[in-house]
Order: sequence, then C-alpha cells, then structure tokens
Amino acid sequence: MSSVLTEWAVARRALARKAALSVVGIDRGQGVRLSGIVWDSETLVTAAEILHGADTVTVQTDNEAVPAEILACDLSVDVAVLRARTGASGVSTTNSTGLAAGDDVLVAGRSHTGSALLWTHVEQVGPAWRSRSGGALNRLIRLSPGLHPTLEGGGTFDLEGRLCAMAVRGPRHQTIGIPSETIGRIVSTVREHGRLPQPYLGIRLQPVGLDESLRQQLSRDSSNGAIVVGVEPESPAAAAGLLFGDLIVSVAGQPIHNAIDLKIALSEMALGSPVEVQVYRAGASLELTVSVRERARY
Amino acid sequence: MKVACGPHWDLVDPIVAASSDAVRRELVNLTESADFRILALAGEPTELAALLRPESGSWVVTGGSLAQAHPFLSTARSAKAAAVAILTGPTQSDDRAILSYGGLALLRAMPQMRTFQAAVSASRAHLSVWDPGLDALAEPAESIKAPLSPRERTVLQLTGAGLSTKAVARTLDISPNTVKFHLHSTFAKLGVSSRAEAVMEAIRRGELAV
Repeated sequence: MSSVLTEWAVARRALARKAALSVVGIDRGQGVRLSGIVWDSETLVTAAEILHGADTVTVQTDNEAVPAEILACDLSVDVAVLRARTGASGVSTTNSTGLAAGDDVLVAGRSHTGSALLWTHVEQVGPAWRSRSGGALNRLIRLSPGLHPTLEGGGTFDLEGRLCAMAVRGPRHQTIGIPSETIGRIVSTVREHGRLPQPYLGIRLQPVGLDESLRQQLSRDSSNGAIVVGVEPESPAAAAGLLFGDLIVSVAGQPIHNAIDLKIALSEMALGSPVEVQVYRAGASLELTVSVRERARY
Repeated sequence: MKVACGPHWDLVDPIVAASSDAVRRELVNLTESADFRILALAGEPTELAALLRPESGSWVVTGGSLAQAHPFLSTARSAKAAAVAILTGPTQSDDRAILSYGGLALLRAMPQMRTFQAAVSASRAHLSVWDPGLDALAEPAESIKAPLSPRERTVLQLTGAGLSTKAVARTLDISPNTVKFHLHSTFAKLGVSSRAEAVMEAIRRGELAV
C-alpha cells in the first residue's frame, strides 16, 4: 500500500542520501571528530572554533582518508576553510533567505561509524547579526538545540537538498546555522589570497566614557568611546600619525564605540586602500588618512 | 535574663554588631523579622568583645561589606562565638578562607528568612556557611589587576592570526607545551574559556592591537 506517508519517507531518504555525499568527517587529532562540507572539489569548510590550533587534519570520506591543510580559521564567524582533494563533487548551495522559522532541515555529517544525519527544524530566523566575537553574519539562523559534537560543521540542507547553512554549536546548547552567504564570502576571500588576510591598523584601544557635552559636540548617540592606549611601531597607525590618547571617533564614516567596532570596520576594508580616520585630539577633531594593510608576519 | 519564647526558644539571643547606623538598623530589622530577640547592639568590636560571654552561647549578627564586617567577625572568633554576616559588597573566592574557623555564616544581602534561620542554626553548630549568591557578587574578572605579560600577548596575537599551537611554538622557538601554558594563563587572566573569546577579550581590554 503506497500512501502519502511512504512517499514522504522515500523522498526524505533520497534527500538524505544525496546530502551525505557532500559532507565528510574531519579528525583533528586526539580523537576529536567533527563534520565538514565539500564546498568544491578541493575546498572544505567546517567549524573554526573546534579546529583552531590543530596541526594535522585528516578528512574521512565514504571510502578513503585524505590529509587536509587548514587555509584559514575565521573565529569571529566560526568558519574554517580547508584544502583537501576528496574527489567528491561540490555541494549545491542556495541563499539562506529562503529559510523561515519552522522549516524542516536536514543536518548532515559523518561520525566515526558512517553518515550521521539529523532531521531537525529552524527555530528562528533573524536579520544580519554580529557574533560575540565580532563576526558579521548575514542572517541569524537558530536550529533546534542540542547538536551532537560530531555533527558540528555539518551541512544544513533544505527540502530541495541544497545547502543553506552550516550547523555549529553555540553557547548554552544552542545550534546556530552559519548562512551559506557568509561561508561563500569567506571562501572567496581565502581563494583570492590563499589565506584570510587580517586588515590591521596597529592601535590598542580601551573604553572611555564621554562627557555629555563632548558626546553632543561629536554628535554621537552613545557615551561609549574608545581611546588609543598604544600605537605599534611601524604600523599603519604610526605612519598616519595616530597618537596615544586620541579618541577614535569614526573610521571610514562608521562610528567607533569600542575596539570590536574597529575590528569589524577593518574586516570590511580592502588592503592597501586609504581610510579616513576621524579622531578627537586635544579638544579638536582631526582627520587622518591611514593605509590599512596586513600585520607583518613573524 | 530574658525568657526566650517562640520557635527559637532554644537559642540564646543575638548581638547585632555593625559600625554604621544604617547597616545596624537593617540587621535589626532582619533579625527581628526572623523571630529572634536582640540581646544587645554593638557599634565597635571592643563593645562586642565586652558583651560576648562564651559560656552563655551568645552569637553575633553583623553585615555591610566584608571589610566592615571583618573586625566583628574576628572578635566573635576570638570569643569562640558563632556569627552570621549579611554581606552587601563584592567578595572574592579568597574570602572563603575566613570560613575555615567554623561557626561562621556568610550570606548575601536580603536573605530569605528560612535561609537566615538555617544559617544561624548551622553556625551555632560550628558549621561554616557560604551563600552561593555571594559568588554572583564576586568582582568581575579582574582587568587591570592582571595585565598580560609581553609573551602572553605575543602568543595570543599569533593565535588570533590563526596559527596552530605548533606553528606558534615554531615561530617563537618554544615548545608547544609552553604555548599551551601561556594560553591557559591568558584564559585565566581574561576570564574566558576559548581561544576566540581570549582574542576578543584581549582586544576589548586594549591588550592586543587592531
């Protein structure tokens, strides 16, 4: 007897099998296993926080184990990009804008014993947000809580079998979906540079409270300010003449209230481009032009 | 001598001790509303010492900040009397050391009646009581007190740049275990539990440059 339920079950199984083809298991040593997504024939993505600090990483596919190289770990959005020749074909992705609260999704990964698949659903979809570590995510996607650790970094697929997010574990047993657009942005940056460049200014900032009169004078909506407590020698900031004690008012027109604001503003800037920095120094506003570059490597 | 009655008829009445009038008033209210009759008030440790008679089993209620309560607690301790302190100010985990003498209860301000009464019974039985609510009053993870060392900064900065433990070790020509040691020490100083949090917290505190 074929009912709508059996048809439903058959369709779900087909979808699960297809999804399982575009995910892998990732061993980061010391018995730690997580999952990863085959982005294309030589690129994998997975959760950064678990992978961070690992040296040798092995990728487990259906039939083989291959070594992988970590190209970048972006801790602010929890996305790591790896290079590995898995021979698997890349996943088909879709924009996460199609997701709505209540949608069924499939989280696919690979445990030590084989495919690990979890049917779950989207609990909440929200606008673009910033993680606690200052990362810009295109959309807030919260899945049902309680993800098994091996499924961390697993692909989150819609009912068409297209990848819309990566599942990661957040604080307090939350399961967060990192939107496919956010992952795509990081993968293309890494492809362009071979790694994730970190735009760098070279100043250390500490929070400072602004007097009401100064807040009004600078027409800011908050009394939180950030003051320079250190300028690294030979940094872009030193070259531009930033000084200890400067209040950073804005960078490229974006108001800066704390060091994390500055980090986020910088992360959106192209290397080598001139950036206007407005500072308040000795009772007067001042515009400086800084050329943002990468921090010199050791 | 007064004749005690009510639910705590077996308890000798307490002495309320605090140097500040306002604190003393609050402690009196609390003690009375918990059905204890107050034997006496003391505004100074010397007054308290004169009032305490070890053989009578009298006990002490004090409060305010731990610094304010401390002289009265010491006086109670030397008279081998039980004491309950209702603390308002911040405490640190080190402060628990004071409990080692026994017969001392440290409670957070505005305790529930039952908590207060239980603390009295416990301290009079020479047990120590630490209200877990006091941990919430603990000072936030000590910024200025513990700045990162230059080495810790360097390790954290390289970590933030995405280097693995081994890569950091190679770069600085130290062993991977030393790198881990420095990282854990920065975690403790910054009050965090992961590398990502450590990097962000260090940036927030002006320990790392952006």
